[in-house]
Amino acid sequence: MEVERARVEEPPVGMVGLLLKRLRKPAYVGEYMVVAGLALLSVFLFLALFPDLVAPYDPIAIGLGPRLAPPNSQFIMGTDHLGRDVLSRVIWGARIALLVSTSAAVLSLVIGAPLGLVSGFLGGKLDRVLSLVMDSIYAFPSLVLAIAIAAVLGPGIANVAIAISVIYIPTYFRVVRGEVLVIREQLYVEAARAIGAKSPTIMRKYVLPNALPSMIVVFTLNVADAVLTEAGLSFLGLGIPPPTPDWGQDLQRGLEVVLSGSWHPIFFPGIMIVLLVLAFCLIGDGLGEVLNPRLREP
Amino acid sequence: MVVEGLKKYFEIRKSFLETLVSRKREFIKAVDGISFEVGKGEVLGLVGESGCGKTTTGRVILRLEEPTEGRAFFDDIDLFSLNGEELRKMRRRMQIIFQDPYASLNPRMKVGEIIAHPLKIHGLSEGREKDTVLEFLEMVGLTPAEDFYNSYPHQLSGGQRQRVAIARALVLHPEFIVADEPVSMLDVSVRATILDLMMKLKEKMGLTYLFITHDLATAKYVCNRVAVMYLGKIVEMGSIDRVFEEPLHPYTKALLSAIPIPDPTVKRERLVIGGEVPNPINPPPGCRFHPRCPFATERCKQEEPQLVEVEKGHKVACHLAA
Repeated sequence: MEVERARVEEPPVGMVGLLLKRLRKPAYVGEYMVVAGLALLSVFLFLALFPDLVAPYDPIAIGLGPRLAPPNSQFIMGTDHLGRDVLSRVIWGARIALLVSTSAAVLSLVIGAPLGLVSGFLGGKLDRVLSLVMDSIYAFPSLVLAIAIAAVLGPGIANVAIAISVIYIPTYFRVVRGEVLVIREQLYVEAARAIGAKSPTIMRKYVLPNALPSMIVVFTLNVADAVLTEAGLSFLGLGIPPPTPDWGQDLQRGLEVVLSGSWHPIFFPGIMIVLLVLAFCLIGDGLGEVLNPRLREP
Repeated sequence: MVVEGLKKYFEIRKSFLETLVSRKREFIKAVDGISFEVGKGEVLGLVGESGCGKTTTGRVILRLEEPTEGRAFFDDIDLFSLNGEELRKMRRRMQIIFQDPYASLNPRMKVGEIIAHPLKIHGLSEGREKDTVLEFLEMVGLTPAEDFYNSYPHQLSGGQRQRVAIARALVLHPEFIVADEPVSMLDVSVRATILDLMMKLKEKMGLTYLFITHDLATAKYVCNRVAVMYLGKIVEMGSIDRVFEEPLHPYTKALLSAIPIPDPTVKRERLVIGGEVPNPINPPPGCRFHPRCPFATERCKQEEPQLVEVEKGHKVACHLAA
């Protein structure tokens, strides 16, 4: 019998390995987007993990300098209406923003994805009921819903994360369910049944891994959205209670003084929000292209 | 393996509006009452055009599709009465090789995991799964086995993938294999090697095959007996030699005359049938083949011929031949 050899030029690697290999030498727009997004995100991660190394002052110390001092050599981004250092608050704010948005996205992933998986795979009445519930949540204006939930739960990091996660659960549910509806018709799923695999095993080992790429993309984009929602809730006073440094909260205080000519207390937190959202959007959209070659633009 | 009066109808989904207009439910009669036997160690070919129900037959026997009617026995076990757990145990003894090796392997599993998974599910060769998998990789000609063990399906060619699929099917030491057009998606150059491999493994492991194919040349190469299907019915069945030398049903004759003979000096009568396979929702009355049959008589249009034995082991469903 003729001996067929495995192609050696392509070492056996998993999805993550393959991705890392591709990203080391970006070749098209999607890959550049991921690299740029990751670079930007790593800056924010560093700020969030080691704010005390970077921030020059205590972010909640009042009266460090004069009130509403414009940017100068001592306070690079100026001071706010209580004489606190804007730069230090902005740096410490990264921690809250990342913590709340990622934990909210993780929470909705952990709840939404399994529901979508089971619902799509098993179908039937369960699927109808779950889809109906999820669609009604989805149809509700998301920020209004988050405001309502946050208002009921009250301020606080955990509560804000829960309020945000509720509005994203339907997103995961819908995306995963849609993927599963396609995957469960695949021949390899039938092959799994033919070897005697039970439904939970098929879902875990055959369906879920194949739905993973789109879940990762949705996750990244959701974190971006959650950053905005968290800032929005804090802006409305339903988010993180003062004096914890938080971008949304600082925006709101900044709004009060911007008319009297102090632009810096609102400008710098705003820029940070934009950049962090940009980082996650770049990663999410880029990954979407990398993981799904059909989406690659010609 | 004994199959009796097997029927599989698929209901046609109608739009909401149509269900308001008429209550009549319509069915595609994919398999419409077929009976056959496959003896131990035998290779029965199930041949016919696409859409004649041969793949559905294989899937129903393995309970990948639920039968509409009929019975099937394997080793005197009534396959269609098995419930969940009994069926899972039974799957050890009956396996399938699919047509499309590009779709039948989970793209997120390594080859080693793909072949080891059946063992894990049935709790076989615990702790020595890897050895067993390597042994089977060698058996299906994927050497060096260690290299293939860690490969992903997308790194393999179609022929190599089909070898993986064969190893996955055989690793449970099944007795009965449904081979659903196992080589039709492969390059012509590797078809013969895959068929040879399947035959070698049949001898080695004492397998019984239900070999589904639309290619009569392939059937002649591997089968002991052949059953010709047309529109959900078996029209002729017999040993491969008798059916090929002396086909009795006009449809079989037409199929056989479509095989090219690699010898220009051989002259033979060509029997070309016109038209398309009729709609399986409303198959023609009488003999299903009569609209396309050059020899059809008045009787063929009204009375459906039964599958009758005309010589030992050679059955045909045709008024003219019987």
